[in-house]
Amino acid sequence: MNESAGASEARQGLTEVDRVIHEPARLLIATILYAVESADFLFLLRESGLSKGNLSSHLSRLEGAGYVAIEKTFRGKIPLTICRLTESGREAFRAYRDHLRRVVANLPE
Amino acid sequence: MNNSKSPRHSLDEQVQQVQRRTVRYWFEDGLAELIIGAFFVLIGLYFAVAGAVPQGGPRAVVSGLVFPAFIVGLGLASRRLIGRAKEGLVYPRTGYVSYVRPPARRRWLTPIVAGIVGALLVALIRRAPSLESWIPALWGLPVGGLFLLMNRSARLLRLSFLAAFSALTGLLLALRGGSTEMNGAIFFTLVGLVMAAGGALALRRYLRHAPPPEGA
Repeated sequence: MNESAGASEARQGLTEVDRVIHEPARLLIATILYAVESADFLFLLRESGLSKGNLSSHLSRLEGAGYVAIEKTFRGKIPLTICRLTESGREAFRAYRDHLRRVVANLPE
Repeated sequence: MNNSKSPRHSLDEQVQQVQRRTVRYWFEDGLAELIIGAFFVLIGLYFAVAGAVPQGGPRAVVSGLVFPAFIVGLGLASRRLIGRAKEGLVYPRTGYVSYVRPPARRRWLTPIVAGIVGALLVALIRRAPSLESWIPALWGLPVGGLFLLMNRSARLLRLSFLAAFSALTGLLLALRGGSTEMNGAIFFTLVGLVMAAGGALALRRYLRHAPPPEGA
């Protein structure tokens, strides 16, 4: 493949990325959740370094896209807001990662 | 060769780093090592007691029936205790995480394979009693291997140290000779104490860096 064709394909590929996951804060949240079965709001807050409001709004966006399921529950006496990637969220994360790998592989050196 | 990292590698590395941190979180508070280390000390005590039981029938009952039940009991109790301790100390401070469990087939396969390997080793030692002196090495290597396996995703120095320490302790005890019971008592007590000490230090550091939540 010649360089300009590769670059053009890469440009096209970039416009087709899943924008729900592509946003850096949401990508971070999805990456953390991908490594576990579920995690609570406090853990995500600490690991992501986002503010409470920011994290809430990104989680709502991911929940709205059907990528994250949020459940309020108790563990012992501790109230928890448990978040987990849904099956479609896991699939979307894998697809995003593969897609970006292909796009970057097509970029000229 | 170009030494600068490609964006692809950089993205993959970042994703892996975030995921490694998440897995490492389980070990951050040291509770698992503290509790499992304490149970190793109990196994060491068990060996010391078993060594005091007269040889023959009673000892065969102790090693054939009581020991497996003791190990299974400790395994179940440790899971519960670690869960309880994390609920009380860790989740309110730094949050709750539930890890992806291995598929049911693998969960069943591991104890079955361990049982078969154990039975084969017992049969082998019965046929060639001179191999008995190598039993401590046979504890040290799988225990060390287990630490390495745990460390594959966490990459913590103290787990690598524990792996090397248990393999080396097992090997040294095998070379030293002596009764299986005495070697078992020494091996499990030593490894357990080192593990618990590492866990206690990690817990102290964790509690210092993660103050209790407001209103607790």
